[in-house]
Amino acid sequence: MKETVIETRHLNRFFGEGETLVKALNDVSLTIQKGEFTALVGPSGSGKSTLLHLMGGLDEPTDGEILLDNTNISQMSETQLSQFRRDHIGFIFQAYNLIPVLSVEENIEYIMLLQGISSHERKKRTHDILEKVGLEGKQNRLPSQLSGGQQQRVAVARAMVSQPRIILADEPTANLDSQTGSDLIALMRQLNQEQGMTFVFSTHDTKIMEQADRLVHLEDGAIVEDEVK
Amino acid sequence: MLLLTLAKRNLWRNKKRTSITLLLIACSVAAMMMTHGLIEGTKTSMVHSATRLFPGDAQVHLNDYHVSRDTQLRFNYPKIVHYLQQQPEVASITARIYERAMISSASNALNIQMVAVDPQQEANVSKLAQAIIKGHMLSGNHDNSTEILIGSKLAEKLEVKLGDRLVLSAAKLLEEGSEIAQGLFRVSGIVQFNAQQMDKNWVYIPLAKAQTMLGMEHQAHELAFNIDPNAFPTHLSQDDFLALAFWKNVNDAVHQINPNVNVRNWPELLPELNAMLSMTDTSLFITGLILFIIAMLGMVNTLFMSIYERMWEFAVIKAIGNTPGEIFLMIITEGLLLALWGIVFGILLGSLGNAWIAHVGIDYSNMEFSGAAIVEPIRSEFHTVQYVHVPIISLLLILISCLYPARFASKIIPARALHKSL
Repeated sequence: MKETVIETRHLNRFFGEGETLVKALNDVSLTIQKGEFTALVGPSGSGKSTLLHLMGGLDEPTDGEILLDNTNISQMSETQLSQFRRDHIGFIFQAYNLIPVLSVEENIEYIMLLQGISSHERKKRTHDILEKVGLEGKQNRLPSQLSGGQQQRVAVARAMVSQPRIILADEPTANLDSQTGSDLIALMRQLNQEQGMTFVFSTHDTKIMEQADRLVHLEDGAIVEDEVK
Repeated sequence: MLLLTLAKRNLWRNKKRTSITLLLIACSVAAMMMTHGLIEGTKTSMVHSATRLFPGDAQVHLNDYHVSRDTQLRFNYPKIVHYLQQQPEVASITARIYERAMISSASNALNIQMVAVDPQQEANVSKLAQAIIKGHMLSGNHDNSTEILIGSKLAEKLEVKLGDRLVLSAAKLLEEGSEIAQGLFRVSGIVQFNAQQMDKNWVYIPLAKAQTMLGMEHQAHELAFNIDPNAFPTHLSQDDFLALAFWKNVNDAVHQINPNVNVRNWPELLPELNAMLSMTDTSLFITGLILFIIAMLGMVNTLFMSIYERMWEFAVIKAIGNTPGEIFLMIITEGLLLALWGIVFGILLGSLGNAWIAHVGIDYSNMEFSGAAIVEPIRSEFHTVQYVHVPIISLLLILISCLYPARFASKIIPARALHKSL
């Protein structure tokens, strides 16, 4: 039996009021099962990123409910949300993912430090994940000393190293060239298949769409098509 | 540890801005230390000038002579002098007679204040000997002496110079009334204290001469004495100085000799100086407040600029699991580090500045504050306040100024911050 890891119920997110009211999301209900490689697709302004941010508890819905691992995060305080994200969700953003004053190794270890994982375990996991993302030997570099593709690989490594159940990626390939983008998608797909983590993307990238198990099409803040391959 | 590492590295991301803020904090702390050192030095100098110029650290009078200046309020002093001389805290003591008198020169006659002093003892208590700008100190305490010292301005008014003759006329109190006593004197010295009243109105003659002229054998209007500078802890506040058990003990002992005689120390004798010193403390407080507010505003500005530059970063770390409390602590840690570095640098700067002013001094001679001429250069003083209170208050105020930026950063909503950053 399939296990639901993300569920949104009648989710609304409105900005502004009166004549300037913008319905970024309008009554969106969606369930995502464990291990899915799902892409939220649609034109700019369709509500992809808004939905992704709401799923990750990075924004508050106007109304509706969000359940992650059967936990209703809409009711959580800010601190509870932060702790929930720390233990259950990995994030990859379009850009500026890394803390510029920390080295690659420190960036990856950061989340494990927050989780209180022992130094030995942190070192081991960091070493393993760097090997998986093909960045062994670059652990002491600062983000500014890496290419855009390498920075995104570090972001993937950081998102995965804490072994979250869900990884939310907001246009992770938008700032990368075609080849680097393809390599990154292949890497994430490989990790998804090997480790069974659930990936949800918001994207315009056709290569991600090609790799995805499921495409959720959004337009004007509403789901217009839910395509399972 | 992670917080400290992050805070340190974040601060040095923008070296120029951090350096300017550090300099602002350091300068505020240094300025506060130097202001305090200089004001304390000024206070010491004012008290020293006011007391050592002529009045002494304390005086003994009959009843309320110090207020009424009633010349009938005279007392026998030898036993009291004997008692005071035995006190280890008393460094020097002298007896004085004050009498309103008329002085006549070949060209002028004026009402003046005649002060009779024992030249040898007076030299240990006041700066009379050092204030002589022409001629010499009274050579001895003889009842047949004809020597007189006169204030520089008075000498101009009387149009006299060294060696010129003057006639002094004063009222001699008798049991059945009074009679005019006169004496012929020659100017042996011109005195300049840079205190208007004294330079314009005062003349000085030997105590024994005045006692003979006025029929005041073994009597005086005033005993003035100085305290041994090593007798009490240095840098006593006025309140602590007044509260010393010494004053009560001395007063009790003197009352046993003569119940109508009182010992009063300088804060009681010079209330206007005392009030001015209190006012100085208020102005120091206001100066400090302004300096610290400037430093606080600088700090708030720096932290906000740094937060606005890193909005996306706060969004990311919040997204990956930092709680609002941890972000709040992160900003407070940055503020704490900035404050500590700035304060340490400020203490170094302030100490150097104070040491320099203590070494060279600031010359305010010829200036008069509430009747007291500043006779020595003002030198900065080092006090514990500068190394304990100033740093602690600075640190607390800077930390308070970090609260708002820290709260702002902790309340950042990741989705909005990311949206703005992109």
